[in-house]
Amino acid sequence: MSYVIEINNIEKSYGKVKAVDGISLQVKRGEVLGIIGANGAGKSTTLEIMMGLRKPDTGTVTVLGMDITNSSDQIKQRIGIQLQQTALYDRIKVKEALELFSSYYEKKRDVNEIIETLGLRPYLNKFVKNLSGGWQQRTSLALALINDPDIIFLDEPTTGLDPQARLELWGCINRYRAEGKTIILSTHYMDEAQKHCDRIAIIKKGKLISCDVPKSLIHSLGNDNATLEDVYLQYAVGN
Amino acid sequence: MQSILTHTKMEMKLFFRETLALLFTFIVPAVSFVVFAIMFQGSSYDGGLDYFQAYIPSMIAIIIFTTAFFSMGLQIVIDREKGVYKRLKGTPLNQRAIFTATIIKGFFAIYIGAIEILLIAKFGFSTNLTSHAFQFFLALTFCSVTFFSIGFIVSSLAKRMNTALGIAMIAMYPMMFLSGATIPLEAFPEILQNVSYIVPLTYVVNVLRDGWNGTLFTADALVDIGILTGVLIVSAIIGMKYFKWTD
Ligand SMILES: Nc1ncnc2c1ncn2[C@@H]1O[C@H](COP(=O)(O)OP(=O)(O)OP(=O)(O)O)[C@@H](O)[C@H]1O
Ligand SMILES: [Mg+2]
Repeated sequence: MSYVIEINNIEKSYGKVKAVDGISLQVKRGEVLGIIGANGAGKSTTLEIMMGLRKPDTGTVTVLGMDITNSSDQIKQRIGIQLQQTALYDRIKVKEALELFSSYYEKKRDVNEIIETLGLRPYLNKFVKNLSGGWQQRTSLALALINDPDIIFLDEPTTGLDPQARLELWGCINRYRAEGKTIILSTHYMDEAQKHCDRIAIIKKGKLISCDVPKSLIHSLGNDNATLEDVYLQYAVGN
Repeated sequence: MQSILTHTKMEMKLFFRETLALLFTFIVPAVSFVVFAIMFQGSSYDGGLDYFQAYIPSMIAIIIFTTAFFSMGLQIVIDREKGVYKRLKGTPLNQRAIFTATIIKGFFAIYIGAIEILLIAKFGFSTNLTSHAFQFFLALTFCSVTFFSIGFIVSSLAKRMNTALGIAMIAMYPMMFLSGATIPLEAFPEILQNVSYIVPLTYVVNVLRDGWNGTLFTADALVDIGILTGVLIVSAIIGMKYFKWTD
């Protein structure tokens, strides 16, 4: 089995808050890995450490076989990220953002194909700031795909979307999965996670409680009619 | 290389969409210049300078201040708060490129703003521009760099956009009025005149006037240049220690 990401016993504190408390995790090539957990559990921090945006206090992270601190330049060429906040200039237009981000990379995916896939064509000349939440999300997803990355990180890509938009977004995500890309995302929607993720990592208070295929997680409850929501309630909440 | 170029072009494009930046760079100084010119054209100033010899450099000094504090200091805080730099950190674009683009944008704003004042003076009031273009350019560039480093201190101190805006607004009063850039310092009581010594823009006004009038390489100018150099070194050190693109 080849792992595209290996994180080893990482810890991260913000002042007195321990956001990540000793997480080890391996991500397999081509899988969709979902990260679930309560607000403040440490999902974003864990993702941002994998993206190379934050340095863990301790522990090591290997992405595509390279150490994230030593080879961040090569790694960044080959990953795509979407943050929880839109994180774009106030006065940039969708088209300009796509051109700008495309210029950062050596490898580029056909921008027009991304625009068509995400249905962004009618919005190209609009300011990102003025788009509805769903279209902002799609714009930042488009930017995550612009370099045709091997690994795609998405921090709550479907939060705030209407049901149809969520469905369409999953359509896109599945299309990229079919190309063999590895996708790591966080979500608060258990139905989505159960349906679309190959494996699910449950984080609680900075610790990895479990990481397994949805079926096994549900099976572990000893009730085969249970859903991932029950799993969540069992493992991710409380003390 | 291509990416630095594209990024810099985008920074400049976005600059021209910021109402506040445009107002303080291209409108306020130009309008003040015209209004004062109509009122005080015949007066003479500090060291026997005529209105234009004194106020062309003054208005450009104000542009240096507003660019450093609003278009750089404040804008960096706004973009950082939005997460822009964090997002960029996830791309191959490195922080040196972002820094370079920000500095180029700053120079660009100041040079364009200065050219605007020069054009108004030449074609609006038929004044002769300086015959010391090189000295003035040198002075302008040096003063800009000094204030850029102060701008970065603003973005180091302020985490939130409102804090940065507050700092810039509060700094604006002494910078505009106690630096000699607008009202001649002689018009103030002695105590306020003394305050001008701790307002960095005072020295910018002096150095720009020296450049404009061809006295940049005199002993008199040396003191002002020396003080600004000190400000530059100290703020660069503070900036390097405390400034962060991402939280
Ligand atoms: N920049 C920061 N400074 C200080 N504390 C932070 C910072 N970012 C996160 N934290 C804290 O770290 C903990 C983990 O936050 P994180 O954003 O990783 O959680 P999360 O699982 O993504 O939550 P959510 O579901 O709300 O997005 C929280 O207690 C949060 O308050
Ligand atoms: Mg989060």
